[in-house]
Amino acid sequence: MFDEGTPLFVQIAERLAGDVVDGTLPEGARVPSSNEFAAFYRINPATAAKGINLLVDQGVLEKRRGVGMFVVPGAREQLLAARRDRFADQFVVPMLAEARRLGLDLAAVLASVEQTDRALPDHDPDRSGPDSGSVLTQTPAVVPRTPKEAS
Amino acid sequence: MTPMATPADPTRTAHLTDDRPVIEVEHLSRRYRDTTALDDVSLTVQPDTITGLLGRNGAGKSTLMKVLTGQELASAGSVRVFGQSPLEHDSVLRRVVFIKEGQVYPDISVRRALEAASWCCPGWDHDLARELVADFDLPLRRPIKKLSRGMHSAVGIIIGLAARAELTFFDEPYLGLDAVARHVFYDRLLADYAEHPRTVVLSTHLIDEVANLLEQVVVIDRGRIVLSGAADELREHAVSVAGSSRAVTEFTTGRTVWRTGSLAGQTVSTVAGPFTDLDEARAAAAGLRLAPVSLQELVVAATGRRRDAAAELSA
Amino acid sequence: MNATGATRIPTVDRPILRQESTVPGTSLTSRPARPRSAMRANVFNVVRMHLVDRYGYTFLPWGILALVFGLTYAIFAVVHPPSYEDSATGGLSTMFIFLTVIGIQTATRTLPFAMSLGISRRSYFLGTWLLGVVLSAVFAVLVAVLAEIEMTTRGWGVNLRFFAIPWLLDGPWYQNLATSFILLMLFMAAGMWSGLIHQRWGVPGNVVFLAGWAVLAAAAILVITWRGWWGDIWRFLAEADMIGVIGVFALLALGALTGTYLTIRRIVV
Repeated sequence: MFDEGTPLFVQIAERLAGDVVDGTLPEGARVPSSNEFAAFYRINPATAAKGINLLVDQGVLEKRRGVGMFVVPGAREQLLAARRDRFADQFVVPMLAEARRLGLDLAAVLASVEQTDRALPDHDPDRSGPDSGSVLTQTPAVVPRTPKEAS
Repeated sequence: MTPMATPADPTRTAHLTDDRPVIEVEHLSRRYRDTTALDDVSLTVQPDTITGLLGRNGAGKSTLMKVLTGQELASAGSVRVFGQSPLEHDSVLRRVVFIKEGQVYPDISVRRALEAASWCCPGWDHDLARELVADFDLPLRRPIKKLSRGMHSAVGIIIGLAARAELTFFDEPYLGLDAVARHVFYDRLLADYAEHPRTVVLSTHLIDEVANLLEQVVVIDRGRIVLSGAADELREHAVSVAGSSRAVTEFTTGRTVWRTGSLAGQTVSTVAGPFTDLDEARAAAAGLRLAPVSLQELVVAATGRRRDAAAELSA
Repeated sequence: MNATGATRIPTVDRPILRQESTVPGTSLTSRPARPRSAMRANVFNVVRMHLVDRYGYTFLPWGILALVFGLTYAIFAVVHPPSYEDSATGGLSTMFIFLTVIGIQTATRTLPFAMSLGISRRSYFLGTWLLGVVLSAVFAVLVAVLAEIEMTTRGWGVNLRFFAIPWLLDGPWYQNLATSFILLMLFMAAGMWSGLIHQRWGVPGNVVFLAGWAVLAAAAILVITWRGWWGDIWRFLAEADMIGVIGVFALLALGALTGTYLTIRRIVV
């Protein structure tokens, strides 16, 4: 259920953040309580509370006294920005490390990225670079990623 | 549940505030003629936490719990429960319930045992007891001595939970219980703990099963505490490093290595932390795979042969 | 997580009660401690805990005794011995054996249960003996009444001597009452003490314990024989008024009770 890698409360926070990013928890929505989290994931309520508090500290969630915990307006954009910041560290660095081990040069990596991107079912030509547009032979249906389906 | 309850405010963590520890143990030793069951044990347990008391069989877990409940006498050191010695203090003991493996009962039926327990536990919840009896499918009229092992254990679990004592000890409470019944226990414990926070000390060897339930962990080995702290933080104490033997050796030099194994130029070592981002970057650059260690592995490592390493860690 | 990997949390609108604990006075950990009342409550609970098995303490011993009495009565009705005085039976011993068994069980089965529920050894001892005294008293009254009836009817019409055991319980009613009361207590105390020894040191401990008493008795007999005191002792037992004998029993019972208390104070369950 949980990986051993990160502390449990961080994983709880990450899951909650993920739900905010993909819209499962829309901005302004009430967040389940730490007890609900604890019962659902079979974890210690204090751990769940710690995870939730992490997001409060980051300004993603806010507590309204006597009412509960809610997603702060603008939280999704904030989380997305943070994730974009981490994108290189989290994904590009390991990819390049592996590429070096395999003896792939940068051009080969980029080519692979483009090729993979085109093969994805929800390929979005607008996002693709100017060169790759012409290579597009098939016309994949552009699937708009609505938050609900994304989850 | 009360209808007027409001949605949660999970940021409230009352138990982290200025409450005095429920359990305070200083330099506790328990020696028998030829063995030392507890050797200079010191620990505190904060109110409203679930603490796991982990260790091998015969490590001293049961002895420690018995001393904490006044059932066993200390040879040296001091033990305070709710600020007082638990020994022969009814006012302290009334707030405590202790269910141990193979708990002994009088020759009475399940119903009578629960009835008797309800008198002795001021916080007893009859509804909860009824629900638990249904959960575990326990025959109320049957004499306890005619119950199967698992059902016998279930009686203890029901008493331990329904007692809703401020301080609850479970010492390997589920002898003979199958996985389904054990998870009923975990779910019920969590749910009731969430509604009625209290201090729970649980000793078990099924570490993987309870790891996520625990807020605090105390690992005991040969009568000594070798590891203790918040469950979350303990896991950052060690990682397993895998990669080419040369790189692993290079990375682990100067660190405490708990366990190590090599095969065909590849080595996997369990090393003690702490680890900085720089360490991680170094490891990544060297092509090493760093994997966190599960609580179970941590306990195995801490209670294995490398006593010195474990002692160093807890220091 | 579930199989689809969705990270949705159930949004059941469940009232949350963890929060309640933060309200002063509602947390489980805020109860004040009152030593005296806690102990009183626990002593009372021990009595109740024993009586949870009500039939075991009431119908069972008297049922067995009634059965034994009925059987003996039937035999006597058939055989019809010529004299009441010489027809003693050992049927009443079941009552004393029963008290011994109760004593053993309170030590080996109920004590560990009580201690797991947070009852101190002292409270357990007090509660158990509160019941022990009442039980012995009630049983003693019954035995004394039945012995009185037996002596009045001179053997229930069949020359059956069952309750009014010669020398021991064939005096005036108040003497019989005192003797049976003290003896019942003594047997229960002996049972409990032995049970505690068993609890603490197991079978070997009990063997040593009982053997110790045997050795002590043998030594006493040796000393008495060596000093030539037998004559005095027989004279004391035969002539001395029963008060002296009761006194001896009372001393024994007190000794057993003290031993039981000292053992339970250090008991480990």
